[in-house]
Amino acid sequence: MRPIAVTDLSIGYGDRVIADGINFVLEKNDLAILIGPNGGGKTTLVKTILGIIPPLSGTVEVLGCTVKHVCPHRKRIGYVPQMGRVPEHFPATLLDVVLSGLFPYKERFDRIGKEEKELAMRALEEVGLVDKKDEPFGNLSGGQQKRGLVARALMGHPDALIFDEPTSGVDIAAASDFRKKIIELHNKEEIPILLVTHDINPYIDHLTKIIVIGRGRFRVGKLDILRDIDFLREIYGESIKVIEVEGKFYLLSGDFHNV
Amino acid sequence: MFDYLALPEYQRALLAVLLSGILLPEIGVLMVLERFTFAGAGITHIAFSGVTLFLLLGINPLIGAITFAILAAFMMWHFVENRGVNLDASMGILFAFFMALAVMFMSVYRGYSGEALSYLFGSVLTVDTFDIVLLVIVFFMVQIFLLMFHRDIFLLLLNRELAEASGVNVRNIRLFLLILIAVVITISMKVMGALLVIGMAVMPAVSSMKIGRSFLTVIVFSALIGIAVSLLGFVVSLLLNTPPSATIVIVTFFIFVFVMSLKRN
Ligand SMILES: Nc1ncnc2c1ncn2[C@@H]1O[C@H](COP(=O)(O)OP(=O)(O)OP(=O)(O)O)[C@@H](O)[C@H]1O
Ligand SMILES: [Mg+2]
Repeated sequence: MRPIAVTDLSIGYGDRVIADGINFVLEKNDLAILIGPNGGGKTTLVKTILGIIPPLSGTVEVLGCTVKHVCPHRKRIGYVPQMGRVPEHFPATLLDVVLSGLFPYKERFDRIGKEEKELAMRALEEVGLVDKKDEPFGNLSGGQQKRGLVARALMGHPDALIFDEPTSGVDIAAASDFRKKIIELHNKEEIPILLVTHDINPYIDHLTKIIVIGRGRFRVGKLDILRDIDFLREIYGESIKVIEVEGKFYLLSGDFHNV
Repeated sequence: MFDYLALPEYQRALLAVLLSGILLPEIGVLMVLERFTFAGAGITHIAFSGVTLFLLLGINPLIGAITFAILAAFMMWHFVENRGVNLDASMGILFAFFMALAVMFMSVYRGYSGEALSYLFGSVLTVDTFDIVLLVIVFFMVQIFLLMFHRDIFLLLLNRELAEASGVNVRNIRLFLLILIAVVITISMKVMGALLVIGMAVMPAVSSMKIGRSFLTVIVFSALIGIAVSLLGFVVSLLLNTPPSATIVIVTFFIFVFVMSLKRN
């Protein structure tokens, strides 16, 4: 069973097509990076995979069933949405929010036990926020909230991870911890990981797929994509340049002489 | 004072005050978190247009109020979920439409009675057995809804996409939520008055959000504050011989001001 398989997918809203002809598969050991310009359709693709918005056509198969039908597995995906700050008055502590990551794995009246609280504490340790566990979630900074949501997504042994810009707004130290954690998960766990992010380089030795979406175009490949300047120009615009230095790729745009 | 409580209308009044004193603050928490307070005030007016129509038709006006409120809640949900109109604007639209209906009905119905006014300002001593039965039914519906769906509501309030990805049927939960809010507000109108209902929903909610830290404790605190101010306000109104609904709202306001002056733990 393929964890995630996308076939002839067309995504968008109502009658507005954002991209079509999308085909790719994520296997158990895939670490895939999804890149593309702002407004290119990354979040739209992610939401379609998760079944938050319906596909315009084509199919998304997640953990063995199509998203369209009620699927008990679909919710077994650790997900961090690209979202604004949770407002100040939201009545929950950081620990409450992390524990809510277990809701999809629980029956309606199952209680959350002591071991599960410990699991949450370990998840908070991973993102360096143990001392904030009793803070009201709304009082945390945007970056801390995001780290909290990452901890939340790691609860309950998810069958796949999908993170939409998990490190935007997160400080350098925490972002670096996050990347280490992702690479560690990729090496240890047999689950597909899909990351929407603009920084590819930290993952370059580990990633198994690069997916690009933008301006109605879609492609999946590996480092070859980053070397295909014509394709990247179509996606990002004429002014894009790619510099490859010691196996790292730097995407520059505009008047890069002054960079 | 205790002589009063021997009278059945005072017993019914006390029961009604307590039931709405729990229901309004509970749904008040959801209203505040869903940014639904203005829309809630709109519901009272829409329900009031139901009152005027059913008085005209000679049917129990509470049934008209509830019918209109549920209809409006459903239309609002439809505009928001299926047509992409924002909540605030859909309320504005429905509010205008239903008020226009009310004006039409009122122009026909000349003998404007105290009965319509009792929905506007509250008239807890005229609460009858039918009103109490409805309050009790809705009371159990709300408690069951909260017990069954508090996790889904929590996720929905945290982030809609997260809720959906977690398998929550967000559209259905929101429809249910809107209808319950509409019904609770409407059946509390005779107790608290259309003009005062929102105060009783919002003030205990905001006060308890200041004290409580988790979602369920905030709802429970809100209900407890509701019970306390309803009892206190009711007793004060008997002692001072003032209108109960207004007295309760004034007491609630003082509690709200007091809680807001507390430092956060
Ligand atoms: N709810 C919506 N209804 C209609 N159009 C939308 C909606 N959300 C996004 N869009 C449009 O879909 C396109 C793709 O948006 P999307 O959010 O998927 O881009 P993205 O690649 O995630 O961008 P970013 O890098 O800014 O996060 C944009 O043109 C946007 O305007
Ligand atoms: Mg996005």
